Amino acid sequence: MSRKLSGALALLGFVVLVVPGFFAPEFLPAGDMSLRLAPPSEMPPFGADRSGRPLLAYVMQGSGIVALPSLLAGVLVMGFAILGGLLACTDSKRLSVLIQGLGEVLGALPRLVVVLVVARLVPRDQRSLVPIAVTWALLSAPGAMDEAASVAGRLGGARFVEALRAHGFSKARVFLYHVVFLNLRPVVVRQALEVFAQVVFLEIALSYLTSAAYLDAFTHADSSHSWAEILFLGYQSLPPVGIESIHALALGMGLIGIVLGTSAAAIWAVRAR
Amino acid sequence: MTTVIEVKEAVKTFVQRGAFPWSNSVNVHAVRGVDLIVEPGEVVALVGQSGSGKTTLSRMILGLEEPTSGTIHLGGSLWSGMSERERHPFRVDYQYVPQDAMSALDPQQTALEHVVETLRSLRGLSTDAAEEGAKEMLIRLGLGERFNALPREMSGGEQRRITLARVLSLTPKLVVADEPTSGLEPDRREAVLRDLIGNLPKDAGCVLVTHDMGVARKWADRCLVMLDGRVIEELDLRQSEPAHPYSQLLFNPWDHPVPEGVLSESGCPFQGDCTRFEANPSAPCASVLPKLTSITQKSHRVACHLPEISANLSRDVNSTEGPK
Amino acid sequence: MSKALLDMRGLTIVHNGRSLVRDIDIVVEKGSVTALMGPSGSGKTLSARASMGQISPAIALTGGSLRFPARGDKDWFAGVVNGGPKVQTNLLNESALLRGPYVSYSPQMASSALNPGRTLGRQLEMAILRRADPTGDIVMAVRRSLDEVGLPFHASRALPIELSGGMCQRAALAVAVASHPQLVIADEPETGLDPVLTRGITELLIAVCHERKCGLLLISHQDETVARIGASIIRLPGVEVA
Repeated sequence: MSRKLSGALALLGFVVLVVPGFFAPEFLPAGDMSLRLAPPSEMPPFGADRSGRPLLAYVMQGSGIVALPSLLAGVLVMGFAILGGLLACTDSKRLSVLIQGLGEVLGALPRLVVVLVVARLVPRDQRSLVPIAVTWALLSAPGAMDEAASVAGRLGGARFVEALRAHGFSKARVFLYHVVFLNLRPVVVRQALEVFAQVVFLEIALSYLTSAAYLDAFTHADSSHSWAEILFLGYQSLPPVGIESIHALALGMGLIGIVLGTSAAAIWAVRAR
Repeated sequence: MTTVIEVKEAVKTFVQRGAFPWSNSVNVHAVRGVDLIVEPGEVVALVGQSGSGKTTLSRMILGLEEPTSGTIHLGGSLWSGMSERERHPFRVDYQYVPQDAMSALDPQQTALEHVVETLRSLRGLSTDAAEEGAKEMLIRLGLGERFNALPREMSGGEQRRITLARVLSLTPKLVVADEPTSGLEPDRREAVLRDLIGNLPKDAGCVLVTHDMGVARKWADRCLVMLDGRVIEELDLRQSEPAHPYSQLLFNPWDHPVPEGVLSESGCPFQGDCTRFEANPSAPCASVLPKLTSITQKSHRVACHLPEISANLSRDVNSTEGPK
Repeated sequence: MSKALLDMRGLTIVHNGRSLVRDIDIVVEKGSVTALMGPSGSGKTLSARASMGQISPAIALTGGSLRFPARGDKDWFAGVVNGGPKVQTNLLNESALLRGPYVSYSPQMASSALNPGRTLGRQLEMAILRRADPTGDIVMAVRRSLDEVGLPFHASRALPIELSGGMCQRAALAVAVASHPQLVIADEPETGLDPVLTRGITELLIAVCHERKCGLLLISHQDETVARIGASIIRLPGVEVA
């Protein structure tokens, strides 16, 4: 698959994931019991839940909860990775030792426990995915920086920069074009998308657990509903419960597929030569 | 005509710090006072063993290291002491071929892109003109079939040629090449040097750092032998033979006893291994540092109290296969 | 007359239908120096490695015999010629017993021959334990091997990165001969060295081999070096590059 095609697919994927969130209704529409567990049709397009509320509303609310914070996490990690790669191209030993030390400390923390603690600490009326996404990004940053630094190291690091500077190239061209755009791009984008997908799945997992246990959600207000609830409804189509909600399972899996497919297409689009 | 390079009394001392802020630092004298003039159109070889300071000197010429003291003029104007920002516009004219070709190449650019980018961004050519110029240069260096190859798909010699193509396409006034043949198979070295020196722009100076004496003999107009941070002999190998015992050892290692390699701090650094000093113990080698002085010809200068003036000075100049 | 240390005849190796080396004979007598010369790409390293049974299963051995007459009459290539990758892997494993106690190989760049994470002393110890008769005090043995190449004993505590280029080359030589091989194969010991160091290391190599009365197969590019040490020369024909 060509870079252009996979890039276009990735772009389309992001639009599909992000845009519905902006049009999401604040509350689910009132249910129409005649549409109880209706399969996908003209109306409702993705079928309905047990109270006859359209699953489309779930999809839109879920995307409002998940898309922007996880993109933010991805961008944060991308920034850190670029920083790590650029630092590897300078000669400052002390700084890199400092960063490595910091990375070891952060890397030693149990990520999921930290995320749960952060989720509990956020006041109830300000619940959102953002604090969790930022925490996750910070915890993933050292690894991403390390990987970018090793790519920069393979490039030659400070020697590469010196050789190009000696030819007469400007600093901006060497660092931004050669180091970041041509060489760090694949690894940096991959790191960012990994974290993006991780945060999406983290949200789904947390919300799934809370909704399965009938608890209050960590990542969103009680009025909105996450993709996890679609999956939970879909899960109930499996034996032994066996209610007729297989369409919800398909929809939930489809959303997960879009997240994975989008990430994969974007990684493929920016791959190294 | 102005000189390409004029180095006066260049000294470089590195301070080697220990692992901790409070541990002792050691001064390493890499270059201890070197004068060097390169005229337009001249190829000057810096030869010596590893650790003799030749690489440091070549890096100082390009401003990749700042001299601890002394001055460097490039093209008639003062170069040492400038800030990198002031130097930047002139860098295009003073090019560097690093020892390790791979470290100067971008693994994500093809051969053609390397040279096109160089011409576009450093010479300000339009895309079409740059592509044309780049193709011409690559064809001239025998890379006509390898336009779209990435560095990792190329042999060592081909990688080396991309760095040369990039440097030569800029028609620089000076090329400093640090061991341009290191890491290459010996029978491939010849061709790389022919490509470099044969394609130098007219009136460009070239400094060739090498420890391959065959290279110096064949391609250099003038040869500077370095030992322990100093130039101990300067000669045109087409006209004269080395007179300093150390240079003789370097050029014909099999005709002399194996040196201990211990350099003396006072007097002549080579006194410990010098058979002539052994034969003439009254010479001032142990106490007085010999200065570079002309012998027989003006162009042949030796820093030795007991230089050996060889008999076969009148080697036929025309018979040597020079580049010009 | 003592028997030859190495007797390889008619070595032919093919890869993807193209022959890499064709009909190469290499014989090394006890106490002698044989130089293997030829242009780059003529298969010098390949032939030298094949002469200790080291042929990658990815390339096919299609002809030749390999004997170590001083050690027995076995033809190591018997049954391996045209035998396919699996048989060649067996040869690789079986001949591993030879490498170290009988024949040792010192590769091109000294730095690549040494393990960067181990002190020189540890690497020497490991080589010494590969000897055919590992007896005696190991510390003394390390001291003696360092002595042999003119390195001070405290170098045994150094990591390769702490040694200079010339010392590194000596250290690699010490490791190569520490297992007391009868045959030493040195692959272009002069690579990357200046002429004075080249001469030093070549003479050291000859001296050590002479002292031990072992055979030396020297891969070299330098006519002068080979002429000076008076080696018998095997020239590999250059392969036309298509």
